[in-house]
Amino acid sequence: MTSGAFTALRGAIGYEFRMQARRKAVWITVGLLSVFPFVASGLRFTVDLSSGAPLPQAVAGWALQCMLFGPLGFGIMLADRLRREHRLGATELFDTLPVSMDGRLWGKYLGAALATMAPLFLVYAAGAGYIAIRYNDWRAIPLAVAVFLLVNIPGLAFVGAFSIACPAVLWTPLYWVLFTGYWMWGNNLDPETGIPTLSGTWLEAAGSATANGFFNAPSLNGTTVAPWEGVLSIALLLGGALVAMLACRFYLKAVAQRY
Amino acid sequence: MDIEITGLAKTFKGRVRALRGIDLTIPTGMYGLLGPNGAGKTTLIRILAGILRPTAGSVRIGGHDVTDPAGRLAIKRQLGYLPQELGLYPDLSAREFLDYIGILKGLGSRSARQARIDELLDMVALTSVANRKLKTFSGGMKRRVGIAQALLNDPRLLIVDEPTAGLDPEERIRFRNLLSGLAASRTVVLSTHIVEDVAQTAHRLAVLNGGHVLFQGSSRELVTVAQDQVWTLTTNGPPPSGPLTVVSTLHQVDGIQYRVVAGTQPTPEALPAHPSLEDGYVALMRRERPSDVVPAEVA
Repeated sequence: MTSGAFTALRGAIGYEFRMQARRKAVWITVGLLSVFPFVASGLRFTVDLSSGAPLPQAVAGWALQCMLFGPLGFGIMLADRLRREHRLGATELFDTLPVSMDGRLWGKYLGAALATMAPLFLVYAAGAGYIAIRYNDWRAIPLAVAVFLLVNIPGLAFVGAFSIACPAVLWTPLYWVLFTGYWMWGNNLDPETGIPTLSGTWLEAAGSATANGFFNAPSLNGTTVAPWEGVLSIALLLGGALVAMLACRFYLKAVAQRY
Repeated sequence: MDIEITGLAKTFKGRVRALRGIDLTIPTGMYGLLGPNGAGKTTLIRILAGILRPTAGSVRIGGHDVTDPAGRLAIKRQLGYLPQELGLYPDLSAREFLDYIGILKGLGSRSARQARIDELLDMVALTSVANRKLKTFSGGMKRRVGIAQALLNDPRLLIVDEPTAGLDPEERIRFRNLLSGLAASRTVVLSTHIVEDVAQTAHRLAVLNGGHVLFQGSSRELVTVAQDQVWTLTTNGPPPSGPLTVVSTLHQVDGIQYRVVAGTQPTPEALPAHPSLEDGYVALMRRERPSDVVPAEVA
């Protein structure tokens, strides 16, 4: 990547972040959905903090709690970003700029996704801070960072990529409906019901394979997985995100070629 | 930066022929593109700007081939473009929007970019509102932001599509003067259906209609198309009829004054008038559409 292309990518990330972060709806929707499971359970953490559970288990359990509904808002609030330029009538101008489509697309994905996950991260950080105080252990802070990177980020990257890419071919409100159905079916449905689901598998974006495999956090169906399965889950989620973005890029370039 | 267009054709979806073999040479300076709605002007300038690909023919801008990806990139680096429908990010301020566009245009140095933005904001008289969000801007202010973003990279080719549409008279004059000043050292292609904008700014122009070039040459040459065909007459009776086009209707104390373009003197009372660029345009269109000559019509 040339320095000019890198500067353009950095600029696109910065301004997409700025525009998304200024949307009040992002903070309200993602923030409320992230904190909802905690509030709905009567302000209780998934892992009982007074039970003497190990610190990593408590932090990872809290990360999973934030991922119950938080990514639902995350995906919904990202879904209109690609179409937005077309809706605003800005596409024609941007198509005349010397920046590559790759720079704009990745800048939009990374910048908008970082801004959209900020409310979820703040909710998570608040809970992790409380856990650190309850356990009276400063190691909870770097542990919380590691947990967020390993448990939350891969799933958010996966969801974010599909939420940017799919509206290129789908009507955005339709994507919202389909995505909501996918999230509830693929991440919150108890596998014990017997209905085939992605919940509890390596492809579950909520991150229970990683949380359970690395930190022994309780999963939805009570199963435990080995650490290598956590690694595989991260690879599959990040790989899936990359495939979605590349497919989007391929599609947009094909559409541009037609004209 | 000269533009050479040879045999340019553009067909959409295999059926709509927007351009039908255009041959044009656009020299450095201000160049007007006139024509009615649907003439192919916007299609032509979108091909020049690298947004659309030609179906046939060739376009070379400053020696670069528009159909070649490397050529297109080289052109985009030297291009400033103001589209007819300018989409802006409503939640960014004017300064932020220009900064973003500047980054995407390859202005990497932050200090140089900021200096350039300050200079352009001053040029378009938006310094005092530079930090206001674009959603609070009027149409004229947004247009000025548009011209500022087009000039960020000091382009050698500036393409503006209907730049004065929707502007009030003062804004329109300001815009025209700005564009005229810019044309001294670069190629400015002004696409519009407002003849007055071209009359006030461009010495050379082309008239498109139905995907064809009807005329290319100087403003003076277009005016001569209407030589001996422009008349004024004042009457209290019915409007003039016959093979003519009424260009203007002015209600006065002693009657209604009509300015018409007609091949022959429409009435014995009609007086010959000096043709304007608009008259030349109307006369050209009358030649193109002989079926419209029989009934009198208001331009």
